[in-house]
Amino acid sequence: MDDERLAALIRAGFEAEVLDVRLPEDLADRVIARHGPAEERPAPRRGIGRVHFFVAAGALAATAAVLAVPMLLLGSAGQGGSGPGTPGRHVVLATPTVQAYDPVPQLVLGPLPKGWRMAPGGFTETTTKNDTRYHQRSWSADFLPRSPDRRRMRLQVMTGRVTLTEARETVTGLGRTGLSPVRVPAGVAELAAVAGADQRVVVVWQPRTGIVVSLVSTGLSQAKVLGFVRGTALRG
Amino acid sequence: MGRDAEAAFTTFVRERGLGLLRFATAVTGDRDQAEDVLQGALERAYGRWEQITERGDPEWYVRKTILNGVRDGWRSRQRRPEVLGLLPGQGEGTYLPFDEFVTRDAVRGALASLPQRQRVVLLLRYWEGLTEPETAELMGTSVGTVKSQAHRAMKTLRERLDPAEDWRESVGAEHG
Repeated sequence: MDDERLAALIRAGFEAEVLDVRLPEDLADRVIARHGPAEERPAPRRGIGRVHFFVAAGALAATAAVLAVPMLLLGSAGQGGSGPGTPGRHVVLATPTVQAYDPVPQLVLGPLPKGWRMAPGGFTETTTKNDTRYHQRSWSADFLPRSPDRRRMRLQVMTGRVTLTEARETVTGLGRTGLSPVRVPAGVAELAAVAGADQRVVVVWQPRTGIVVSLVSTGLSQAKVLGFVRGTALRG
Repeated sequence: MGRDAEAAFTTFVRERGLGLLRFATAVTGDRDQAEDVLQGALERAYGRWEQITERGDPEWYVRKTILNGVRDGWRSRQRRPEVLGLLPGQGEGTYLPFDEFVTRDAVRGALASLPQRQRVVLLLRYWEGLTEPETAELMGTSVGTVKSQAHRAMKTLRERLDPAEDWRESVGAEHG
């Protein structure tokens, strides 16, 4: 293949990559509204809307008792209404201050499938340097049958400045488009069942502000996974 | 930040934002991550807006910030699936048939398989049309490094795409 042909393929490859890319209409507003002192600025997040009411219960943690209304944009009709000479009016009422904490003592796990147990070691903190940077902490635990086979389930719990969007990203490898809302006793959750030999089921769940749960299982039915999730709760 | 600067920034995003998002998408190969990276770069630019515009080209500054952000592992989306153990083993043993391999998706796959730095060099050289010195400046590296990275990337792509290309040509000859 000559250089010219390869260069043409490269250009075509990148063009295909950006095909149909659309600029969010509120991007400038989002940037302006979110801008503040660097240490207070939340990590960039796709999908954080214009009006988010974060109500964190006082029982979440001693330091996490926060009532935060992160950003309320008033008077701006989006980018189209904030052109030169007529900038949108942005009123920042507060910045998000939901803090990361250890949720494990508050977790009450749902019913495991018959013959299953939590893997030795229980919940392990898996917080990375990157998590800390983004004001997050995470824990995970594995569950498996007492007579181990290929079936397993992994539960990951993240706290702090986390959203369902972020939880969805935990299952990127499975394709987010497969996620559909499912009913849970508290908060919001989505489930994806991935076709394939390993019968994979994924659930992302935000029981309340400041905490998201991701669950990945192999070899379990949707009903059993959902039963576990629906039975899981947070004390307090 | 005055209202004039805020208005100028908004205009900048409106006029140049799509190009920047396309750039970020091409760099990361991931639309969601691209949006995060662009937003982060714009937030950084907004904080220094007056200095940046006084100094010259804000778009260049944002592009450079995007590249730095990606280089520094800004919110790598590979991390979570690894934590959950999703990726290892997934997709192994599967391959596209040749006829799909020769499509642009195959090229995208080949580009995505390149190390980030090599991918960025190709992006800047062949898609953005920058010269080697311009590419080096934007990436904060030397011209020599740009040349060597481009050479390696082209070699890798050739190795991956040549079989498909040969096949495509042979099919073309049969049906031609």
